[in-house]
Amino acid sequence: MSVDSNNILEVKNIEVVYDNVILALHDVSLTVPKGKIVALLGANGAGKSTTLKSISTMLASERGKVTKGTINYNGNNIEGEIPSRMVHRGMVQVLEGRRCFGHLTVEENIIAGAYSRQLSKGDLSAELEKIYTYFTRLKDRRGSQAGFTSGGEQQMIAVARAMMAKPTMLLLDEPSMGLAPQLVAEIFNIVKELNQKEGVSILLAEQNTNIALKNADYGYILETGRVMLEGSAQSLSNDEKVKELYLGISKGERKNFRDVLYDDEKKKNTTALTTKGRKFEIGGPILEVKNISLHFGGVKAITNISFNILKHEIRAIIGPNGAGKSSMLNCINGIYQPQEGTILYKGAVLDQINPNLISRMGISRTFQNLALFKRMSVLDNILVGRKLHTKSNFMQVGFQFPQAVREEKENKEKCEEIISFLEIEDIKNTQVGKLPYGLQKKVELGRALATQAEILLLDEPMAGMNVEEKRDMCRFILKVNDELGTTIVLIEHDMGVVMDISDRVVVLDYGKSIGDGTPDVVRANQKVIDAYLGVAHD
Amino acid sequence: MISELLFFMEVLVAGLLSGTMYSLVALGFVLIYKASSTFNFAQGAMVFFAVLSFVGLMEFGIPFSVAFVLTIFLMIAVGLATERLVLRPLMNQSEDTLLMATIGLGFVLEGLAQAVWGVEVRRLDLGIKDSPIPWIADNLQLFISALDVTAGLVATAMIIGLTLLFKYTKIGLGLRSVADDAGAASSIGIPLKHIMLLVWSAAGVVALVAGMMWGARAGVQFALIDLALKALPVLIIGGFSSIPGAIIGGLLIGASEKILEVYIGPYFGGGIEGWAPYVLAIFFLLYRPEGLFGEKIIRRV
Repeated sequence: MSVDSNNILEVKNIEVVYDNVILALHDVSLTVPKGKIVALLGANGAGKSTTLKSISTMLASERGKVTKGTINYNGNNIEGEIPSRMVHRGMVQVLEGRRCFGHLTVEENIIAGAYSRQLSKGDLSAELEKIYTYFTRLKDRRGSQAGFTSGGEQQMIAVARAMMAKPTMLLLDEPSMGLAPQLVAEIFNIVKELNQKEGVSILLAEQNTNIALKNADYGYILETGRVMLEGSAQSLSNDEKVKELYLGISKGERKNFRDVLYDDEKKKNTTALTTKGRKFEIGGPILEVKNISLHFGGVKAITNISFNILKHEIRAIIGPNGAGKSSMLNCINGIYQPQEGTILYKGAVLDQINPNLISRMGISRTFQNLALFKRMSVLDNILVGRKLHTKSNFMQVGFQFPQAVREEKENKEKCEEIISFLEIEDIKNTQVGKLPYGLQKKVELGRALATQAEILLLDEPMAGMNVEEKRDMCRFILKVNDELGTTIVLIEHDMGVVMDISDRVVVLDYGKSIGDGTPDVVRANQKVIDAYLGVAHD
Repeated sequence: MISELLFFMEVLVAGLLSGTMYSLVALGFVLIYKASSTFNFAQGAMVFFAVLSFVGLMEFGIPFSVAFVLTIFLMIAVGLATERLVLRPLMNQSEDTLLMATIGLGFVLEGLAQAVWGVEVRRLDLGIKDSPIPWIADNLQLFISALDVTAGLVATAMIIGLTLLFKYTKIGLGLRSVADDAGAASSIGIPLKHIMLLVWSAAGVVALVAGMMWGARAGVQFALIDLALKALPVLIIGGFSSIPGAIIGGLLIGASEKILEVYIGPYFGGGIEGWAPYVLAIFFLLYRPEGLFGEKIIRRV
């Protein structure tokens, strides 16, 4: 078999199967020339992670196997290799979803990356300092336990750790997932520097087609386990189909996310929403946050924040990573008890609340890192959301009393409604742990919807999705707000989404509120621009 | 009054020291739990197998120290075999599967021990008498067993050694990384196989030492296997993944066991030594499940 010595990696016609029955990749071929950056693009479930894992040989840990085709790294076949040996050969994968060693400190995490190298103490310190010059943020946090750092910091730790292994080839799985635009730019700059200064070849799987094509030399677009399109980054950026589907640009300008709702209605030919008016007019404050302060040991997560949420509105909370957005939701939700301040729900003070109580009161949420029952099916997960409205106890259900039977039927029906609303019928019996990240997010939304809450707290519902999928998710969020009148509080990083669909925005930075108002007002606020939108957004 | 106080001191000290004997057993569990988040049901059998082999070798006329070293090698071999035949094939299965495998491993070791060395109870003479140290008895009027003191010293030395190993060595870092996220650890080149082999061998050596102490006290017999059950309250209170926790937990259990037996036992008709530790453990499970020193489960919500 001829192998081009200019390529560091050659993947030829591979087929990958999980658990001996699930066909994940049909016929994927790609090459990575030495010293280049190649991007693997595509929607959730397309097969990007699977491709990376077959190359780094991490498939076995998920009971996957390459059943056809060959993979050559540096001219040698990698069949029969194991991950730790691949690292010795210079290939390191940064896994999807951060995966830091939570109990180790930031510095210990990074040092662990050098495990496979035999370094003297002096050399180790030197390498560590070099890494810190790339990741200055991490230097400040070097003694903290990794599990307590913010999402963005954890992503940086994962990349820094991989770099300590001194790879000749780096496989990056969704490095931008869940990160603010500023941080994404920061991370990609570092990646580019690595490529140029250290000559590391890079294969990167990315949802954010925009930033990936800006930084890569070549790209492959995957769809349901096959390569649909390939080309140089420039040619892909100019390709009409790519522009429409993945970059969200149609006829030269970006489509407004709110328009999707009206397109949908027009398709259905309904009389509702023929004008751009609201079914549920925005009312008075339903939730008020007053002078909230929260700290963990020495870390001040939130300092004296006040804002309110009006009934039936879509309120966005934005800010850089670590600004305190998730912590704020956790306070409203009852997971954290703020040391100072009060929260008023429907005029009454929320005191000594816990998540259980809060959800009964009508506030439900989804989580940034997902909190699904991985071994249960999609339907079962959503059914759990119905528990709040189930009045029969287990005796009644056990003996199949008429009330219990009726409730079960009702629950099943409501859940089927939600499942078809979210268009996930074909996966309703699948074990949630087996689904790609984006679909898991949808299931979480479904479970929150099942509680028929008055307020939905959504923590980065669109992390890990490409433009097409975001449009889809926006459609559902808007529908929920529009048809059910549910008040929505949304943490999101995609500025396009935030500016298009929210009614009002509150901006956090370093635990303080630096802006509060309609999207236009916030967009023009200089403090916000400096802190957050500094990177020109397109 | 003085004699009352002296008596209490005696009971307390005896309890504390016998507690360190429990710690020795618990230590084996902690090692394996730290590295693979699995409760090793075979630990009791490992204690039995190790000390039985040691005594058996001595019966062949092999001197004490040589037999000790040989048994260490034997336990390393057991670790190797466990890694190759049990852990590796089951590497990607669920934690429950691994748990069941350790139960099976326990049965195999028990059977093997009896098949090779026979079923009679044996005496183990460590040269340390399980009786009060003369000059302490004479000068402080406390009756403290020499064996207990030795066990205490040995346990302390092992705990200090292992804690230092985990915290300051490269291999300790590797172990802690694997414990947090085995997948991420292997993605940066940490060799899972080596780590597992090391941990299981270390647990085997710890089992040997624990077995020797208990064997000297109670004779080398089948009942040693049930010692493992006594380690459970120690682990719950000290924390499954904490090495210092194993000794603190052991001290607490040992002390409370003896004190409760002597002072409250009579009201219950005696014999509360057997179950008092478990009641204590239940309290901990209800109010502080990670134990005194176990790792709080860190999850970003």
